[in-house]
Amino acid sequence: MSSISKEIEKAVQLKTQIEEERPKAKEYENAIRYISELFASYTNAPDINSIFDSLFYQYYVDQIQSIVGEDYRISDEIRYLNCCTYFSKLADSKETALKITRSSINRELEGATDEKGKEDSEKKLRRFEDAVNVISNATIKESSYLLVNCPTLEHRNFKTDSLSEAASSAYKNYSEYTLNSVSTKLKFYDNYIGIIKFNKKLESLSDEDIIELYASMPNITEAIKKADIAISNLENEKETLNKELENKKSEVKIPSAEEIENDEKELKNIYDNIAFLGIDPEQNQRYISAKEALSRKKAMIENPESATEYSMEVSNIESQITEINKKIEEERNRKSSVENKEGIKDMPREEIENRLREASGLDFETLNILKNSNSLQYQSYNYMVQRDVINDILRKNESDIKIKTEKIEEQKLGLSRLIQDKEKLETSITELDSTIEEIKSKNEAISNFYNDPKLNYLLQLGRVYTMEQPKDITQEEINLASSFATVESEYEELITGLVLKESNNIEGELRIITRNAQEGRNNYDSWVEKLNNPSEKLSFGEKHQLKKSISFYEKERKAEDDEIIEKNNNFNNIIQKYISLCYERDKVILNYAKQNCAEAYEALKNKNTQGAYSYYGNVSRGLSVSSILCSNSLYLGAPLYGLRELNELRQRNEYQLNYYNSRISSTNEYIETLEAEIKQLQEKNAAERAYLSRLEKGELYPSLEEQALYNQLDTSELDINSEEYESEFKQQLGIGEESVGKTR
Amino acid sequence: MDNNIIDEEVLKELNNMPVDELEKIQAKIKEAVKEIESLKEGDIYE
Repeated sequence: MSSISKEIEKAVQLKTQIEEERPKAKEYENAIRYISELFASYTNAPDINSIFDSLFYQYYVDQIQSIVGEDYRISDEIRYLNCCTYFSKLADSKETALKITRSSINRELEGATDEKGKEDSEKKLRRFEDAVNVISNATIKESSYLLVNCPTLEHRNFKTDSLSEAASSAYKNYSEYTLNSVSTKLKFYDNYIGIIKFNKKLESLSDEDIIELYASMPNITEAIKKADIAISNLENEKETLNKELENKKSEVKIPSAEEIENDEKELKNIYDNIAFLGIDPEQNQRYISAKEALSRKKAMIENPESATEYSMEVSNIESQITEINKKIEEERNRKSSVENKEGIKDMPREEIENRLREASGLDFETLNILKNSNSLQYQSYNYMVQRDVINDILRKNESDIKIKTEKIEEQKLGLSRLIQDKEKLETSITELDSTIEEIKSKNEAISNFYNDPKLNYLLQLGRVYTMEQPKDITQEEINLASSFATVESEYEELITGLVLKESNNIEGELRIITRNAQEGRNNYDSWVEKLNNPSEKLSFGEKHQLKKSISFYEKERKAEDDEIIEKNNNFNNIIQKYISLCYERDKVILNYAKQNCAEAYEALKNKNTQGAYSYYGNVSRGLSVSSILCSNSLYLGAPLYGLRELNELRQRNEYQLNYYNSRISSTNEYIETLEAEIKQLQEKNAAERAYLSRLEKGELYPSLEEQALYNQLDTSELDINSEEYESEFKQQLGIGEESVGKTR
Repeated sequence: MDNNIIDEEVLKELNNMPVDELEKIQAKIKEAVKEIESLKEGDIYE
């Protein structure tokens, strides 16, 4: 097989390999994601650099050995030394990280109390071991994607949720880079063959044939066609401008008084006609234009200098027309120069050949580079290819930076909404505090009412009358009975007011508590639905956020909210009935007391002491019963109950406030991550640009002298891990600390 | 890195190839480039 056929076959194989690697890369990405999540969940560590790095330990070793073995470069050697130091630090963390995760799962397995828990843990352990195997066995390109995407070994700082995205992005970069490279190389060969064919064709042509060929070149005929189109467009433009010029010129003339008079009549006609149609002429474009034109003419009479402005416009149009005329002339010349075979006849053959080369679209510049071929010039060309690839990477990174910047704006917007919600919540907590205080004082008032000595005395009095022998009524007792009636009236007012007010309070607060619980539960349901809905195209970051919210809610609120919702469904009905029953009951007792009070008072006035005792006894019994009931019922209980619920509501708001604070903090963290990623991309771009600049200056490839020096080195007995070796090595090569940071 | 290296042997071989042979090779190259470009444009990463 010829060399070129091998090259083509190699390119096709590479393409096939990339196609085949795709599912492996996906599997690899999933494995990384799974291990990352497990590790993060067991250690609560958002940064899993150690496990991530350690998983690539073997890959790095293989990679570097292959670099040293096959295609040695100075910068690679320095990187190798750096890597060796780095790996020595990582060797322990690999085992530690995996051990932590594995033993955590084992602990779960041991602690599982039921069959299902045991089964789940066993499943998890199997998945974990599979994932570790996938990553450990990744000897092909999957793992190199990550390496390619990392600017330097020391600066990798992936967070859990961006790790698999980084893996995916690295795979894309790697594939794009490889495909671009092979495609560029094949295009070069294509171009090279084109040039050989072109040169052979030229050699075989006579002078006459060459002129004919020139005239028939697609580029030439295309150029003529283009010139024709350009001329036609310019002519059209010129015609439009000429019309405009005529109009302007007519406006420049200072109008006569008669012309103004005619225009005014015409304007009035237009006005009348439009108004006749029922349209407001001031809104009609025709009327407005005519009116403006008349105003301009009038202004020109009043101020003839305004005509100068028109003159300037006229002059401006005239100069545009002159410019177009020039362009038309240029296009005509261009057309004539490509058409003119006669002119070509007089040219030296070499000149015609040059024109043909120019018109061929072939890349002769590359050919010139290769004319004086030697190793360094080939490398220069190869670096040119790299330059194109680097420019592609730069463009891609710039676009990533733009997307991430937009994401930051979006997050900031969300943040401002969160802060607003948080402020509302804080206001609500302050309001709750004041309501709680208010209810506390109400409770105190109610307690005071029951502790009122006057009421107690009356109750005692009632008992005395009931239990002791009748005696004469004193004036004091008559007065007391009178005040008793007043107390009874206050009592009635209080009962009525409290029952209504407190029932409203309870209902209101219950509604708030239940609404909040229901809202929390609804949010939770929507998160779960969104997460499990395959049609939602969620990014990994979004999924992670949802999972975090779901787990947070399940841990902190779900049970309580469910209980509140369930309780409330029953309780709402019960409380209504209860309030209503209490109200009715107390009204009956009160009426009974009122009636007996009135009777007792009447009896006292009539000196009917026996009757009065009897009535007082009734009142006392009634009030005693009522008092006992009151202490267990809503009068006292309702505000207390309300207070408890309000305190719960306040607690809940505190919880929500914490939740908002946590969201704000995680959003800020995300923004910081994005900013760090942007910074990393910018640094990467700066490094790429610096690399590109050195590439263009020819600084990167070792000189022939350096190559010769390297070939003389015997590295077989050196400890290449040692600092001495690095230092000696640099000294021999006469270079400073340098790391290109890229394997290309 | 190897993907970028232009092989000098290949260039020499091409220089010495007859035109009809060059045509065939060029057609193969164009086909390979087309396939690679379509892979680049396609949805290969999802």
